[in-house]
Amino acid sequence: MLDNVSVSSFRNNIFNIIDLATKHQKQIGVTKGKKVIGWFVPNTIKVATKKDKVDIFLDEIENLQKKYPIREGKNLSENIDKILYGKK
Amino acid sequence: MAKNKYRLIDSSVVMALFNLEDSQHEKALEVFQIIKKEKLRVKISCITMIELVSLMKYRKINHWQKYAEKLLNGSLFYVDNAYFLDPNDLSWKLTLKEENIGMVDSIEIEHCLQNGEELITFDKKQEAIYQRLVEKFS
Repeated sequence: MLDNVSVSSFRNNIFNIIDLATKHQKQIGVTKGKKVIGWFVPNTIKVATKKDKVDIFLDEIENLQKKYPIREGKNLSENIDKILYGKK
Repeated sequence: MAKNKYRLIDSSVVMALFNLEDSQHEKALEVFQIIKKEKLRVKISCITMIELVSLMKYRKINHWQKYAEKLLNGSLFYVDNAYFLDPNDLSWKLTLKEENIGMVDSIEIEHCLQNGEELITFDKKQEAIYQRLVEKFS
């Protein structure tokens, strides 16, 4: 919770309070005297996270591997020249 | 030798990544985590692409073209297409002199030395010659 504000303060500063509550993603209690008479609950902001291009590439490769797995034995990466060009 | 943010990837690293059974598969994943962490730029030579495509096609790897397209679509890899062969090139001299590496390996080494880029390869023979030349020119 961000804070409690009186109902009169809430009325007078409603836009600032909404901005603050939204920015901090906190609820605000609205009080009259000592009694809390209501709450302002901001909508949850979804923070867009930009995915790293390496992760995107690896995810795409993983998806391909799920659909069309390459299972060419444990030594393929060591034997590329041998396969393509003969003994090295 | 000053290194910039570019890393030239050899076919051995790509194939280790693609091939789930490869003994160097985990190592390839680690390479890409380092690339991510250090915000490196990844290059692949067109001749390396030719190697990979030839290898996957002739081994009849299922949907090999989909894998190749992930390298060519520009999302992560910058494909270096510029090569002019000349008998005075270091790559040609390496091809003639070094028995243990092929011409593609030599061209990758030359490219990295000339451009201050780092070669990432799992080919031990290529790596040894590359490191020897890096020390020589540093």
